[in-house]
Amino acid sequence: MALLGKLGHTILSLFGMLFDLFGLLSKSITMSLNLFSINKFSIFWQLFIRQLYNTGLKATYINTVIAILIGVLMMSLTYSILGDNNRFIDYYAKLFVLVIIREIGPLISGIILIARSANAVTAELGYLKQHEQLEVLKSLKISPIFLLLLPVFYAFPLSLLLMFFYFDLVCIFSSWLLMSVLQSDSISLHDFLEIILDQISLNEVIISASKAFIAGLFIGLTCIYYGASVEPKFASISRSISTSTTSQLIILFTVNILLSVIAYR
Amino acid sequence: MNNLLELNDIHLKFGTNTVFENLNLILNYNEILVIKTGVLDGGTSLLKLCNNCLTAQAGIIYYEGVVSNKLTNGELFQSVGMQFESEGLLSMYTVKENCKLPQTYHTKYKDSVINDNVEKVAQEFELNHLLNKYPYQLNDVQLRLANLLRLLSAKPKIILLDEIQSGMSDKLREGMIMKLVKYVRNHNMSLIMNITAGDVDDFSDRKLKIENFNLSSY
Repeated sequence: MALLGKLGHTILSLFGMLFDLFGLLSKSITMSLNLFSINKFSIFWQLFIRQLYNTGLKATYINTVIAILIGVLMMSLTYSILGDNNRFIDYYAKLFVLVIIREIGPLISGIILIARSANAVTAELGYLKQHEQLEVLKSLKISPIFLLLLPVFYAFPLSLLLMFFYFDLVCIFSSWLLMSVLQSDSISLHDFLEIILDQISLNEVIISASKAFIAGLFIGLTCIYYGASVEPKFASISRSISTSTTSQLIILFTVNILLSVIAYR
Repeated sequence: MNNLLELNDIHLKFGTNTVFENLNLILNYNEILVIKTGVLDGGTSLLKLCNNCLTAQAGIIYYEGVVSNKLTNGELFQSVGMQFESEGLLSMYTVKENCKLPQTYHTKYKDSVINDNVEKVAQEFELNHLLNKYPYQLNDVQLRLANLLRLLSAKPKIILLDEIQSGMSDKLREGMIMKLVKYVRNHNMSLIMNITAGDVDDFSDRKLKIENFNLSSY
């Protein structure tokens, strides 16, 4: 009975969270109308650029390292199976699009976004909440949604899209580099890139953009939601980060896999 | 003529703790009012009620005869502002950015005008040295002064100060009060200041204290 009660409570809180996230989504869309005011836009722009820099640009280093490693792994595994095949590069290009561009790229980029930036945003907001700075905004009649959520709301999907793109490019380059070492009669980077690009359809581009848009949006909303749920208690911020990370990972994998299943049946 | 601020029959409770019962308060134009507060007797809550950032269980608040919930956030910002006793600044911004933020958000002034507003007040109150500092670099007195700077540069009609004199040396207090009263009079503002034991009140037009969940003269 107690187990059933716990299960019911978990399901209810999950639905509660989902409703809250959709509430935040609709609030963010409504609040976006304020961006037509020049002064408000200038406040937003400063915070948006800061967020984009922290989320998209500063992740370049870790994105590069992981993309190089994945590119090398992908090439070495494929080469060990199909290395002698005459049509090795064509097979590799198909496999690369199937594995890296469709699935691994979006997932790894999403995980980097969650680990590096979403957690930082949850902690920042938790700090503001614990130090009653959301109360300060209330007393100044400034909407916390405008000031704290909107920059994340727009920067996260855009950052994720940039990270996908960057991850794929570095992966292609590192794969080509290893292939050049392994094969004596290797093709040029330009030709290699062209063969891979030939395999990418408009459908793939749309699905990748949708993954970035939907996952980025909901990861952003989730970290704000949990950051704002922080209470003035010891360990409340760390608890919020932990719960937020779990929810974001579930959202990331669900969005990615659902879209892939629907689009690439 | 309407009163600048009117609190009408306010009832405020936190859980089972009653803070105010049948509270009435009128603030006139160009009036300086001090309210003597004790420990946990609702001084800050009273200012928050006046600033319309705390909702009472019952009662109505009027700004120049208009019920508070009929005013937009922008109109409220032009009417009333509050200085916090502690914290009160956003940690992601410098003092100057903190001062500029509400004006940028609520008005259509150009950045240069807002900058001028802040710098003029900073100069008048000799607080220029705080402008480029972050809140974590300030002590509690400086934090309250930075709060005051933000409030005065926005020029609302009513300014609410929460124990601003606390922790100040006699010399600093005397200088600050003198400049503050001059500024308030020159800009036709009204002021409510919470004071506590040891604070001066001889500059005020009216003196009240919180007693038995209500306000009375002293």
